[in-house]
Order: sequence, then C-alpha cells, then structure tokens
Amino acid sequence: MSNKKIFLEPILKNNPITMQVLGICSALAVTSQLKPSIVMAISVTVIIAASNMIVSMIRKWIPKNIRIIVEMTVIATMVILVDQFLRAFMFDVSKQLSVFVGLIITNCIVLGRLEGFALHNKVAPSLFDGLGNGFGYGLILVTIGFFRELLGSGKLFGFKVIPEAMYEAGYVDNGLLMLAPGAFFLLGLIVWIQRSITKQYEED
Amino acid sequence: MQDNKYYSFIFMALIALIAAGLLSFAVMFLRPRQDLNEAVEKKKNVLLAVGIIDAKNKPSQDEILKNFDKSIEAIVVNQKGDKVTPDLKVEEIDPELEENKPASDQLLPIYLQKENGKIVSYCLPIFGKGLWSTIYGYLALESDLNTIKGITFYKNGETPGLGAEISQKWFTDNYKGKQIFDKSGKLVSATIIKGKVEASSSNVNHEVDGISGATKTCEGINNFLIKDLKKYEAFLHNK
Repeated sequence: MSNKKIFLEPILKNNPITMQVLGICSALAVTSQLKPSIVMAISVTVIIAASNMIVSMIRKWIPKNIRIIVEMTVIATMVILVDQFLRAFMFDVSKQLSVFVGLIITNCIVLGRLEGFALHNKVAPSLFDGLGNGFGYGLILVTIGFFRELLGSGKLFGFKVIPEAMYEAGYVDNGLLMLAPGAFFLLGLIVWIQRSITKQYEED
Repeated sequence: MQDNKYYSFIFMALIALIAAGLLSFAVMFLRPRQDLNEAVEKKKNVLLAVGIIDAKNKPSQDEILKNFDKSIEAIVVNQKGDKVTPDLKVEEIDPELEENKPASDQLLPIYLQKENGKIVSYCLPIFGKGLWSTIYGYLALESDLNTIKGITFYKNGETPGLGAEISQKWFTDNYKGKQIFDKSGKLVSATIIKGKVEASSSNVNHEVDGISGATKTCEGINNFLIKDLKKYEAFLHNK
C-alpha cells in the first residue's frame, strides 16, 4: 500500500469513528463547541502520529510479552506532554477539555493503531497511518462540534453567527444539541450518510 | 532473546526511565507559564466577584493584571480581625494550608476594591468540599460588610451539567444582594435551599435559589461558606 493510500483510507473509507465506532466517548464529550473540538482533534492526531512513529522505531526490540505495557507507556508519555503543553499555552481550552485530554490514554484508536499497524510497519508508513487516523477522527469531531455550536447556541468559535432578527422572528436555539444525546443523533446521521456512500454494512 | 525475562525487565526499565526523564524536563520548562496562568485565573475571579470585569467580554491577561493592580489591594488579617504583615506575599498564601495551622497563626487574605481611595468592596477566598471535589471561589461583600456583591466558583470537579453549574452566572447571580448577618447581628451566612426562594419567606435575605439535581454540591457550599465566614467574623464585625 502506498503512503498516500495509508493516509487517506482512515479519513473516509475506514474512518475510526464512523466505521470502527471507536473514540465515541470523547466525540460526545468535548464537541459542544467548535474550539475545544479542534484542539482535541489536533491533540489526538499529534498523539497517534507520535506514538505510532516511536513504537514503529523500537518495534524490533519490543519483547512480545510486555508489548502492551510498552505501548501504554509511550501513549501515556505523549498524552501528559500534550496536556502539560495545553495547560501552559492554551489555559482556557485546557480547562474546558479538563479530564478528556488525560483520557486520550484510554482512546481505543490510539492503542488500536499501535497494535494493528505500528508494530508491523516501517516508520514512514506508521507516521502516515497515525496522521490519517487522527484526521479521520478529527474530521468527525469538528463536523459534530460545528453543528452543535451553530444549532445549539447560535455561535461559532464563541461569536454569534445567527442574527438577532432570526430570534426576534421566533427562532430558538436547540438545547438538545448541547447535551450528549444531541451529539449521538448527529453522529448517527453522519454514520448513516457515510455508510450509504461507501456501501459497507455490518450485516453482509 | 526477546522472550528472556531479564531482557523484558531491562527493556521496560529503560523505556520508563526515558519517559520519566522526558516528562520531568517538559514539566520543568512549562511550570512557570502554568503557574502564571493559575495566578491570572485567581486574579480574574477576584475581579469577577467584585464585578469589575464581565466574563462575557473575555478579558485578556493584560487587562486582568492591569485592572487588578489598579483597583485591588490585598491585605492579611488574623482570626482576631487584626491586620498582620506576614513574610509571604499575599498571593503566596494558600488558604487551604492555612486551615491546618492553629487558629491563632492562620493568615487570612482579603482583597479590597478601592475607588478614589475609598474601599467599595471586600473579597474573601472560599473553598471546601462539594460532592466529589474541593470547590474554590471568591465571595465579594459590599462596603457594609453584610450584603453579598458577587460570588465565583472557579475550580471544581463536580458533575458536569448538575453540580458544575455552580460556576455559571445564572447561579452565582442568585447570591447577589443576600446578607450574611441577621437583624440581631449574628453571622448566619447565605444558604442555598431546595427550589426557589419564596418572596414571603421570613429568611428571604439569607436564602439562595438552588440547583435541582445538585443537592449535595449545594450542601457542601453551604457548609464551607459559613466555615470560611466564621474565620473572618471578627474582622467583619469590627469594621
């Protein structure tokens, strides 16, 4: 497989959220606004790409019986680095994301890519695989964050985008979208749209 | 070779060592910036409690520091209500650590908001257990040292959507105008009740609208608010 294909496949055809249904927890938890969604997407991308590369570099020396421990150590190190970095340079966003940055450690996408790809592949393809999966995850997160903030509070990036006149004419923000169930409905719609395009169904 | 248990052990030790070293370095370089952020966050909440800034306007770090230096003066008192001059800077006093000291040694910071040299409000740090976590905040009193001007809760680990709503403006606004002393001059604090405060209640000046689904968090706040006010009681009375 070419690097380009490795990179592109998890973004659309084999998206980690919509096809493998991984990373749902954070996709619901941090997406009530666009900005934390984007920061979360970038954080996860950096962490998958970096962990993938590191594990791929040392893959020949990792003892088989403790490989999961080694992988978790690498992931945890990357997650703490990102968390500390956010606390220093993006304090407000890090407060909003609160525990969810730390919880990237338990995001199945990350460990899944290390186990499924980085352990058996060279460094460059592992990097592209990590970036692809990160972008695939991020694409869904940002899409959900966009619609939730727009329809849920009439804002984007914290700025009002729906004009006052609309509210005066009787338009009301949809509070459901600010809650987790609203995110589930959106996610369901995205999975539906995607699978009807790729024609990949569970039951065949 | 890779199935040798000594090899596994050494390999893991090496990985752990590298990870620990990397993290130590990162934390060392990032700590000063993080501390600055925390300090600004506290100053921001003092300003929010006394009502100089509005969270809606998203004030920048510079604005916060400038406003704080311009209008806020920090003093320290003891439990007898006397002003003391400790060796520490006021910002370095950790109210949580002070609580473990004997009552007579405790340093109690107060932030004074001044306008043209006159004190217009007093702001006290408050903290204590909610349901899951320690809640931190500031309580601002008007110059009569009785009427609540504002309150903020800037750090908590309560349930999002229920207990964590305490930091929202719609809830903290419920405290505005409530009083902490009753008519006879006894310190009674302001208490969050279940549901809405009845306008006809005999205690209407000391009762605050509650949050449904956050009873335990609110109980926690009630408990630590009176606990913290008691520490300042002598000071509040003398003025």
